[in-house]
Amino acid sequence: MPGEAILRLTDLRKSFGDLTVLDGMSLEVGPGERWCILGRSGSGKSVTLKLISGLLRPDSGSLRVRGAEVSDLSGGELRRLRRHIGFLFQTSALFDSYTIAENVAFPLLRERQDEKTVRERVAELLTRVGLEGHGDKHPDAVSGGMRKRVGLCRALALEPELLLADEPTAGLDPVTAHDIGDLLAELSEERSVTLLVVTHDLDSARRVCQRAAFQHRGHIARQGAFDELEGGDLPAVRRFFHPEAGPAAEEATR
Amino acid sequence: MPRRAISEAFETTGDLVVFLWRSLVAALRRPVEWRELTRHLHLLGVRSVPLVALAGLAVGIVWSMHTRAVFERFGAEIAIPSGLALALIRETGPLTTGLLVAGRAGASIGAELGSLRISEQIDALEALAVDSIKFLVPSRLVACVLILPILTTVINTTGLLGGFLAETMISGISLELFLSRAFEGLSFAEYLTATLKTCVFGFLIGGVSSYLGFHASGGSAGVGRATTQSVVWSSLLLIVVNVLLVRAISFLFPGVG
Repeated sequence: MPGEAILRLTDLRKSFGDLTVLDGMSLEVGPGERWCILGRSGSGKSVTLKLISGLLRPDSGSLRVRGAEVSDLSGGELRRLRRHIGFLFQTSALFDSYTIAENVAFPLLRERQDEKTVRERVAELLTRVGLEGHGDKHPDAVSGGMRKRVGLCRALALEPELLLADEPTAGLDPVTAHDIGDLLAELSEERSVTLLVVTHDLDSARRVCQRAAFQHRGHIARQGAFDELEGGDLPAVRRFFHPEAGPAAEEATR
Repeated sequence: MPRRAISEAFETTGDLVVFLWRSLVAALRRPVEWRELTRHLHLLGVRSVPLVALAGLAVGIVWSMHTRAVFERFGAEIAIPSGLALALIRETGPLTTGLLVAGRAGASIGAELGSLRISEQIDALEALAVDSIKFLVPSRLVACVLILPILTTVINTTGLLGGFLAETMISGISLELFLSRAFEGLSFAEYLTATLKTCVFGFLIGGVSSYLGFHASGGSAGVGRATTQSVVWSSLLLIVVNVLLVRAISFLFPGVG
């Protein structure tokens, strides 16, 4: 489907009890694009990713991935769709009873690929992210940055069309965060993966993504190139880009 | 009870029934997760053997010691082995095994699945196009169903051994005579129904603990809650269902129950 949006969110709403997290969320991402959703903590960014991958269901609105309305899919259809979506979790969410190599091999083995092919693919992916020789270790024996790399390998193992990354640099030191950001950009470019990153790390977002959407009060308040957002009229966005300016300007326009 | 609590109780019961049904269907569907099943047979079954065996030995010794005084009063010491076998095989063995496994395996399942939920590993499975219920629950459920009758046989065996040790120290009875008296009043059908009913206990322990672990929320405190609730609800349900099963068995098999 050349030119058609791989991801289209229209007027999505999602509440948990009395708490409304998404309220009229809309966004469109084309194939091969690299987007990030910016926003302050608690603005519903991670919930948006979980809705896209079908881990949560929206209360209302439309959510189309590769042309399919996610809410209408049966369990089996949803799992078939998920083969085209990679998900890098904020906590990495590696299987702690498996080794690093087994974690990366897991989705491949579920696809009934033969062991030799799986071994080669795992070695290729681990080498690509600089983790050759670490395959036999368990996730709790490696650093947070290494766990993110393993998570990235696992998310890319099935060669997805769309990669969702939830706070990929959160909790990492600046150097490791920088490296993970670069790796994410390189891998999505060389594998032609559409990328949607949720983050509040502005530096890595600028390096990794071409376009940004600012999520505020449950919906996308502004979207466009980073410079457009930064120089825009919305105080909450300006404050996000320049937190040192203080809350006064933001409060005054509320 | 306030209306909200009643509606929540109905909602949870409905959720549990749907979850158990989905797990049962998943258990019957291919492929079998052999790696997970083997791991849980070992963790929940093989590793429970020392606990269950020791408990059986203690129950057998204590039962013999307590009942001897009463039986002696009526000159009925000869009935001690058959009394022990009857009590142990028909009720004490299955129920004690069920409660021990509810404590050990129930806590283990609730805590492990709760941790997987909290650390987003269950979400990760789903995101990797894996049916998380199919991957995680049937192996635990089937392991519990398979290990309960085996562990019940272990507790029955060590219980009889304990009873024999207590008896032989006082009366010098031989093992051969003890066993022949023990099985005098007991048919194989009675042993079979009493032992096989523990498969239902296993299903309840595996199913309820999996459900509670699967729905854990609220960080490490949530895992703790899921663990405690797994043991409490498994034990409680097991005790209640046991009464129903005893009634059902005596109704369906009049000569046995």
